[in-house]
Formats: sequence, C-alpha cells, structure tokens
Amino acid sequence: MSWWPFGTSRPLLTDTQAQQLRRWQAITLPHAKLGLDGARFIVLDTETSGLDHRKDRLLSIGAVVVQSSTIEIGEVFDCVLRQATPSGQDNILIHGIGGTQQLEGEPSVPALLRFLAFAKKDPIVAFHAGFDQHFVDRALKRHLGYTSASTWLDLALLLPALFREVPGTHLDDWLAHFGIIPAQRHSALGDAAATAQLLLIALSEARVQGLLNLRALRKRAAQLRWLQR
Amino acid sequence: MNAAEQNVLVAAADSFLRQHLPFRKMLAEETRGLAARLRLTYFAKDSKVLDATDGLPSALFIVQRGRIESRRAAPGDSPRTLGAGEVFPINALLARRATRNCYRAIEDTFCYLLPFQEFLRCFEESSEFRRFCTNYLSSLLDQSERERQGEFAQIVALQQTLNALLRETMTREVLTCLPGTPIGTALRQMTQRKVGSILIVEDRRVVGILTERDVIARVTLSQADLNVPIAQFMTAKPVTLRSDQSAYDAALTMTRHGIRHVPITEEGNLAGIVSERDLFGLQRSSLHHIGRAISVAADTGALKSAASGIGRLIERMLAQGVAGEQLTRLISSLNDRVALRAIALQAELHSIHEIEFCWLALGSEGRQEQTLATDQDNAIVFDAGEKDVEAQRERLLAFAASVNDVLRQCGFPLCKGGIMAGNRAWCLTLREWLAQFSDWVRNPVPEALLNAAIFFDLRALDGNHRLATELRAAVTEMTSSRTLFLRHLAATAVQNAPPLGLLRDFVTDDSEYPGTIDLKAGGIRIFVDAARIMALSQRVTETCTADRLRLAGRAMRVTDQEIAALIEAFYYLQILRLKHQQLHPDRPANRIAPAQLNALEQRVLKESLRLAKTLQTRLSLDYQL
Repeated sequence: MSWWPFGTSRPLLTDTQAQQLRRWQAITLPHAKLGLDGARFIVLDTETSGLDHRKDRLLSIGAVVVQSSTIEIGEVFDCVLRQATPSGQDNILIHGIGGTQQLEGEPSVPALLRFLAFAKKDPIVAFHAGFDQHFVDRALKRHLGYTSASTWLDLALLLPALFREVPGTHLDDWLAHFGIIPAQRHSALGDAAATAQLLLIALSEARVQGLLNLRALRKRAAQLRWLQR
Repeated sequence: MNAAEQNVLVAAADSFLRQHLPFRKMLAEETRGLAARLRLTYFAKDSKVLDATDGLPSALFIVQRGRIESRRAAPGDSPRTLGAGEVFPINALLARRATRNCYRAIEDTFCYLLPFQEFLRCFEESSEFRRFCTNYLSSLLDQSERERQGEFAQIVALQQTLNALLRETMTREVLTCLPGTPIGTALRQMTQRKVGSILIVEDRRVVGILTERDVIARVTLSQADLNVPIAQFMTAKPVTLRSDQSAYDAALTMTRHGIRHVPITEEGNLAGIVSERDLFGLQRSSLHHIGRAISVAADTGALKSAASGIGRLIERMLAQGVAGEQLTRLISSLNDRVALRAIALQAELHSIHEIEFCWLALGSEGRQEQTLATDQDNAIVFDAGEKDVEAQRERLLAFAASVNDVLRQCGFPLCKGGIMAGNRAWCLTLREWLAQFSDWVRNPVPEALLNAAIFFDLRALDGNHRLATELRAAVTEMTSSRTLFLRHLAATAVQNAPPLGLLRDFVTDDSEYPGTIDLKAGGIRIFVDAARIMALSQRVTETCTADRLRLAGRAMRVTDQEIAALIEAFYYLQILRLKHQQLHPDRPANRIAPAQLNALEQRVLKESLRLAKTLQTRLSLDYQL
C-alpha cells in the first residue's frame, strides 16, 4: 500500500471507526485567510507521562472551542487515554491522573476519533504548541495513521509578539499578568480553558493591531521567533 | 461521560453563579443547567461591550470579572459601574428591544453570556429568575433604591477621594474575639470601646463579624443567653477586601451587599476594618457641621454660604441610601434652621421682640416635605392685644420682607403667588386669620380652595407657638364637619389623573416639554391632597403627608399594608423628583421623562402612580364625585 508512509503496520479499525475517520478526512481545511471572528479555534492542552519526546506517552487531552471570540463552556473535549502501565509517582503528582484512572482510561482509537470529530481540521492553539503537537500527532499517527492536519498556533510565541512590554515566558506568568485564575491548574482541560482565556485576550489585541486572519497571526508569531534567535 | 456535567468549566461557572443573585437563590439543578449553556467572552479595557446599534441583544451578560460602565444614552447622565456577578441588559431582553444604555469595559473584563433563547427559557422555567426580572412593588422599590444609590455613589466618588487605598483609609485597631467568646463578653467590649462591630478571628483569619444591627435582630430580640459563644450569632465568612483595594471598591461593596462594615485583609490576615462612617465620614460630620454653621451664621453672607452646603449634603445622603422619609424631613429640618437663623438675624435688626407673633411655615415646608427647588411659603400670625394693630403690622411687614429676601439669597425663590409673610395679605392677627379661614371654608371658590391647600398645612416655625396651635385647632373645628367643603377639596384632588395610559405605560405631554410627565401634578400632589382631606375629616392635626396617612388612614380602617404601600409610593415619587432635581438643576423641577428611566424604575413609577389613582377612586366614592 503505497499511500501508507510510515512503514509500521497499518492500524486496525472497525468499520464504524474507519467510517468516522473517512468522515474526518472529507472535511476541508479552513482557509488561511478566514477572518478571526469566523474561525473556530481549538484550544488544547495535554498531559504526558514526562517531558521526553521519544519515550513519554500522551495521557490526556483537554480542549475548548473558541468561536466568534467566545468560549462555549458546555462544549469541551476531555479524555484520559488508557495506559498499559501507569506513569511514575512523580509524574502523577503533577497532573493528578492516578494510576487506576490511567489503567481504566478510554482506549486510544475511539478517544482519538472522538478528538478528531471534535477538532475537525480547525486551527489548534496551545501554549508551547510544539510540545502538544508532537504528542498528539504521534498518538494520532500511531493509532489512526494520520496526523492532525490542522494549523497549529503557539500562544507562547504569539502573546509576547502582541504584548511586547509584558515579560512573560511561562503560562503562569501570562495567567498572573492577566489575572486569570484557572478553574483547575495542571489538568488538561483546566489548562486548556485558561489558555483559551489568553486566546480571547490575544484575539482582542490582534484586532486592535490590525491582524485580521490566521495567516497574519502565524506570521506575527513567527516574526518573534526569528527575532529572538 | 456526560461532558456538560463533569466539565470543570461548567463547574466553575456554576460555582460562580451560586455566589451571585438571582442565581444564588435558584435551585441547584437550575444553575447547573444554566452554567452548561454559558459562553465566556472578553472585552479589553476601553472597548465597547454593547449599545443600541447592536439591536436586540444576543445574550444576557453576566460580568465574571472586571468592570463595565453603563451610561444612559442621554448626555449628562451619570454612569453606573457593573462588577462581578452583575447582569445586563435585562430590560432590553425582556422588552425584546435594543438597549438604551451604552456599555463599555473600563477594565479588562470577562463576561459570561447567556444566549437570548436560553435567557427566555430560564425566565420561563425558573420562578426565582422570573421574580428577579419582573418583581412586585416592595422589592422593586428596594432594588430601584439600590440602583439609585449606585448612581449617586458615582457622583460621590468623584467628589471625595475614594481612590485612596484602603490601607490608608482603614482603622487598624479592630475589636476582635475568638469564636468561643461568650456573646455577653463581646457585647460589653463593644459598648466599652464604643464600636459598631466586632470581628471573630481565628489564627488571624476573619471567620465572622457581628454588628450593632445584628445584635438587635439576633441577640436582643431573641433574648439570647449571654453565655452562648458569639459564633452562634455572627455572620460567618463576611465579605472582605484587601488593603490594596480602593475606598471606592469598599463603597461599592457596601452598597452592593447592603453592609456597613468590611474587614480588610493583608495576605489573608486581618489588617483592619473600614466602616461606612470612615468612607462617608464627611457626611455625618458635615450634617453636624452645616447645621452648626447655619445656627451661628453672623450675617446674611455667612448664612448664604452655610446654606449652600445643603445641596451637596443631600447628594451624599442620596448616595448613602438614606430612606425617603428621613431624607425629606432632613432637608426640611435644615431649611428650617436656615429660616430660623434668618428670622433671628432680622428680628434683631428690626427689634420686634415685644410683638407677640408666630412665623408660620406653609405648604410643603409646613408638611416638612421640601425638595431642593422649593419656593418660599410662609406667613405671620400676630396678637396685637389692645395695642395699635396697624403699627405693629407695619413693623412686622418690614421685618418679614427682609427675612423673605435673605431666604431668597440663600436659595429659596420668592413665592410666585406672593404667599409670603412680607405680603400684607398674609401678615394677620389671629382674629383676621380666623375670619379669612372661615371665609374660604364658607365660599369654596377655586382660589379659596387653592389657598386652603397651602395654608391648612401650616406649622409654627418661630415665635409664639400658641398662636399657631390655636389656628390649627380652628382649622380642624371649621372643616371636619363641613362635608361640602371637603367635597370641594376632594373634587380638586381628583382633577388631575395620574399620567397612566390604557395602551401605553405613561401618557406623556407633547406640548411644552415633550416626552415628560409632571411628577407633582400627576403624582405627589394627589397623595398630599388626599392625605390632607383624610386628616381634616378625621380631625388629625398632623401636617406631614405620611403622618396624616398613618393616623387618618387607621381611623378610616385602611389596612396597615395599604397605608405602608401608599407612603412608600409617595416617598418613591419624592425621591425620584429629588434625584431629578439633583442631577438636572437646569431642567423643570417636576418634569421627568419616563423613557429615560430604566424598566425597573418605570415599573415602580407605574405602580406608585397606580396607587395615587386608587386614592382618587377612594375620594370619588367617599364624596360621591
């Protein structure tokens, strides 16, 4: 099968799951020049078993939708992925997803399909997005054979590009600066929700600065990355 | 998994709602359902949130954090600040129209949005929410009262430096005790230290508060055992503020929660307390101060400058939420003091001490119901005995004319109808007055009825009170049995119907002042006239409308609740007029535009006018008009 580029064995999906996957594949990517008010953003955070890109596993995804500059607080995505073995004690203390919860989590395939159905191919926003993208895409690739296809936007780059005067590097710095109190810190959904509030602030400021679409936002974020080098 | 129920965002929104009215009073499942339908949005400082150009608002806004300023579309109106937990624009949503206010974020602000359809559903399903939105009279009055306070708090904030941080304003020496302290011991300490509150503290954290007001309700009235620990009586977990917040925050908090003491913390530990007295300290002292300055004014100039403080004082009193009855009486008592001082100063200049006379306050002054723009209404009764009446009258007239002029300089305009003591027609001996009154009662021509309405509310202000008492007694004698005269008075009282329409809420004038109603002719005067007729028929000698309604109403077997509602409605109109005069000194004093009131105020106004209508109906029945 020439279209299967990863060399590993092709994932096994039930008919229904394959159909769900096809439904997602059929979604077209939103236009890069889609205005900020029309766009639907998926603001996401993950919990992992550690910080090692190669060895560590994705434990949990939490995501919130930002559309028309509002957060739909009833429409969220939250899952704990089932693990064969729980992550270490120190790690559990960070995110609070206990061993039993990890063992009894949702099986990866349906959970990730659910995530794709939720995220569609809308732009995904995260704080230090590269980290989340790596783990999400690796899990998607492994279990479904695809990566997220969405455009990713890193708030850790966009925020300092928009608010030059604010000396913030960590998520906590920005939350503190804007007085955002997370409903639950260090849970994927709680952090995603806090990040989504930062996105609302960023979108409001972007509009003031004349950035009107996703491409302009990404350009601005990339600019800073270049400047900082 | 039911995402809507488990979701931490919904849980956070739910717990937020549960801290604020009206959601706090709703059923748990109602707020949970509501929370799941909310959206969260953000407004940067200085950005527009909502105004008339948005058309029918898409949602109910609930301020989550930050502050939003609401300004009426009419220029010159003072803005109102909405903080966490406050909702808007209820009136526009209920009326399904665009808002008439302009909402703007004055801080970076997050708002929860309850979409319009969900708002309607909540309105249908939750009786508590419905009650909050459309209320019955008493709570309407109460809420409207609070809105009024909020509005004036703004003005006050501008005048006083409420920007000061609480660490500067607060009192650091706080009376505290442990939760286990017997209530008796705590009360003794409060009395000894002469403080209005005690804080209950555990490990430097404030766990409760007990104030003088609480003591009356919870301890005195329930005749509690004084050995019971204070923890049983305290308000647990009182509202606190941090010392880096402003005095303005404290003023808003007090207004919002209807409390008078706020404990101040630093890093969670008790650091001090701020009382209403600290914030509005100026107010009490200035009442005292102004009263004193008036009483000791050495000449017209000094009196004039002392009297000029009354308006500013009233403004602050309105902000503090002093009740309508007290406030109008307070204004009258200050005005009385000005008149007394003017009389004293002029009496000295005109050396009239040997003349037996009494200075009479008439009309609204006689009823102690003055507002800010009240014309003078006064007269003199004197007893010449065997001496030359005309010579005495001349001396009194010269004296009275100068008093009238001093009062004019102090801000009380001359009476357009000439009803002033300096007018020869109204500077009469006791015998002349009795003849005059008797003539009015016997020949109730329109002019006589008009005069009766003013003069029969007479009250002694200065001089020999016996003369006024005799006049009052004569009025009662002459009128109480004379049904025909009372019937004429009643006919006058029902002439002006309250401006309520069948189709529209209010019937506004479109002649001289388009879009306005006359609060006096169509409302206040009806209460005053009806109360006067009731009082005369029941031989009640009080002149104050509220007292007349209470005493005569009881004699006429009107229920206590009905009387209370009438009095409340009367003072609501009075305060509305006072507020109007305060905000718009340049506009006609009795003309208000209902469209510029919010829906809540409109409803209360309507209810008050409806009560005026019931008074007229009653008069019509009683006197077969």
